[in-house]
Amino acid sequence: MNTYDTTENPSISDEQFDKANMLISTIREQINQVLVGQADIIDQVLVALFASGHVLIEGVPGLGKTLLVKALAKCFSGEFSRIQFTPDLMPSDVTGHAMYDMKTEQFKIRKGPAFTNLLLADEINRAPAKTQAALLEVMQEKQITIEGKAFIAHAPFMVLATQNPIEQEGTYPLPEAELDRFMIKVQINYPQADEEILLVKQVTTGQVQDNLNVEAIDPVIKAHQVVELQALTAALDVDDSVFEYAVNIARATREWRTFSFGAGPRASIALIRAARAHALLKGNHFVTPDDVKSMAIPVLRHRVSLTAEMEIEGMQVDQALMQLLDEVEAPRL
Amino acid sequence: MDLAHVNARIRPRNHYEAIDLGFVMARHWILTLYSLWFFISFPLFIILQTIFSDAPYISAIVIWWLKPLFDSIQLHYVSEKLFSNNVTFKQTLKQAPSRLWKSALIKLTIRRPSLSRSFDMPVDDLENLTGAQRSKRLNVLQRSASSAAIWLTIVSITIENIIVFSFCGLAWMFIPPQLDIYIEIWDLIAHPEVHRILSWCWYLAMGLVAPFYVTAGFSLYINRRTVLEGWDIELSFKDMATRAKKLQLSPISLCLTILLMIGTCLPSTSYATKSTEQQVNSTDSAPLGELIYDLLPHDAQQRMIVIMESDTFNDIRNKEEWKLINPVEETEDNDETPLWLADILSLLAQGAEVVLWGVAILCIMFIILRLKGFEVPFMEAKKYAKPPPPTSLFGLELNQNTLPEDIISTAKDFWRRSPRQALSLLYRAALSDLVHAETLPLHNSHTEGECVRLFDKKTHSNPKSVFFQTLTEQWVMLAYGHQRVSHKQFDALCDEWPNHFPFGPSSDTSEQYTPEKNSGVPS
Repeated sequence: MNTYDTTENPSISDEQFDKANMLISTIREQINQVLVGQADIIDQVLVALFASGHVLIEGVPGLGKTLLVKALAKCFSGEFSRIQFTPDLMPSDVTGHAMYDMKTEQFKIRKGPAFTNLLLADEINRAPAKTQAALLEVMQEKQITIEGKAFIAHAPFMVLATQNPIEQEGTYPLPEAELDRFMIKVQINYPQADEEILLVKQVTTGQVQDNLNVEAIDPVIKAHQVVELQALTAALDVDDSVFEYAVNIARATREWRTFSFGAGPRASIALIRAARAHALLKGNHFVTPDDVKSMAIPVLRHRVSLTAEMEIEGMQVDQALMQLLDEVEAPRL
Repeated sequence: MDLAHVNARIRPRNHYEAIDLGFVMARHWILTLYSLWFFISFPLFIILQTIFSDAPYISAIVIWWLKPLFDSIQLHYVSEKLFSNNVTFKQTLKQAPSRLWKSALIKLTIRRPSLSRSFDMPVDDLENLTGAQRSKRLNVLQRSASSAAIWLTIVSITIENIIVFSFCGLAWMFIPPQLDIYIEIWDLIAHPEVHRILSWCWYLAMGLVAPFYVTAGFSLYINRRTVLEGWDIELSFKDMATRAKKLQLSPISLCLTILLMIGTCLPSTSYATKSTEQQVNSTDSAPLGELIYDLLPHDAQQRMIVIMESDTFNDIRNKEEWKLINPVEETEDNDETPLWLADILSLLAQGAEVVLWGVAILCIMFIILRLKGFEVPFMEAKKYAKPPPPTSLFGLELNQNTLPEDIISTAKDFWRRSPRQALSLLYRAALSDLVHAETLPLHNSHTEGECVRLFDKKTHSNPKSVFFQTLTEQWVMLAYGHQRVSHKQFDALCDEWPNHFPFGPSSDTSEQYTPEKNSGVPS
């Protein structure tokens, strides 16, 4: 008789799983219609969505950062708000404020754009630190306090912030505490030549303006479905050795010679959550070390800082993280 | 100290000029300076030579160590002489004992290694400054002169050594060449008599150099003070004051002076009225070597021709001398090299030229290629050297000796007890094969998925890589997903195994397989 020392995950039925996979592939297809050649980026954003995290998207102008978020919002039939961060933006412009109503002679709460499902914080580093900090509470605790009263944010709630790495004039770098709130940082690079040709064809054929149109995308997922998928992600099976691997990677950044400071425990948590979502996107019922490793760079790149010498030598954070991943031992089973 | 009576011309000099002045001063009073130095140090040297007769070099070292004391006596004499105090050798000697012991301890301990000693000595001995005042004063003085003072010490040490070697060389030259003696250098160095001679040489060298070193340092010090305190300006003012005292101008002499000045400044027509004829005559009659003023250009040209044609510029002399004609060289020149040898030498020369040019071109090509990023295999051997295959990966023992002889039957045995152990054995055996037989470069950081991708990339998706992928999927599903692997799947793996992984029984198995020890599966 066989004596198994393993158990199957009883919380997820195959039917649920198949439905989730179908839904995910539909979303991918929809977004791929408008955002050409950025399949990895789409996957990373979906990982953050299903892992209930927030995304910081960085890339030079014109690579479709805003388009990606718009396309995601279009797939999703929930609420979507966009805030263009400017130097004169106030915290109350993000969260909301109390307003005196002359008719009723009472203070009324006017909810800000943060009361939504998908919040696009465009060019987040253009606003000063106090406005950026207005997002801290809602990103971490999913609630907004106005005039001492806490309001629960809508579920699902996800912040997608974009920033431009080239322009430094008139920008305010995000503080470490704010950066740590973002589950992953997505780096958008230039598309391949053939993909760019396809993109140019799409934009220029039959269109007067040079904007990519997201009208072609149909809403395929509802807010409650996203919450279900998030619950499914959280229920995926993770072996102890995989937990250990994720923690080892995060801990290694703290002692790694090329980093002046490493990632905190929130990074280990984010890494496991992202790995779960990555496994779900791959169609797996369980998380493997591969999931952890493939999500390590997006999860860690904004949580570590290179030493001055490494920056002078021209080393990139991603390069240093790759070196680190080559040194951290994979799980031993 | 009276600047008016100084015996040297006081003006700001650069440092090396000041050192030169010091040498001139030393030469001026050289006999007294040498007498002072040797009079004090020689008795001590002789006593030390007698005491340390077995180790004569000690006496020279002691004298060297006591040099600051002997130098201070010379310094006092030079300073007195410079400012026109008529000090004598006897007077200096009388004052010597008190000066010798003055701050002797500090001079011979912490100040002894100072490289600017000769420059610092006047501050200690003449200005009598100590402690913070001394260091403050030295700070000011050394600000620009310290490097020259240090170089003075270094050069003096070098000259001392040169003198010692010169003495040795002189002794060596006195050995007649006919003797043809061979002396082992190490025997020579170890010989006590040689030590004695060397100590004498060193002592003499120190004595010879000391006056120059002391006076040059003193001169540097005087020069630095001249610059800082403006001694030269002070002297100029003093001179002016003295001259003004001597020149008692009366009102009449003043009027006469003014009239003379006006008279000499008025323009005169005497030069304009002078006839040119007079000049021509004077040029012709004037002797060749004489300088004639106010010549017209034409006359000057004529005079030049006359001078150039004179005997002074046309002195032709015949010189005869004997020249040695070497008959041997002439005969050698006449000997002609055989033709065949000349041909061979010419060929060799041409060959060497071709080889050298070839090497030069290759070097240039190599540098260009390296700059363009071309990698030379033999130079990159280390880079491409494959590391030895790992003996364990992911905690699994991969050494082939640790695997059972018949993997399939052992795995099937395990399957009945623990499917995880069975699949672990298959996965471990597969990895071992990849590492050893396929030489796949796997590291501890590679995950299962990366192993599959690497092997797939290497084999271009051949059946073996497909089989390895299936095996890995099932292993990962069992290990991380905690999901069952069916009998059917396991049997399929076992059936297909021999097609891809032929290794089984190993003839050179040195270590016997024991499942408990080598399975690599944690309990």
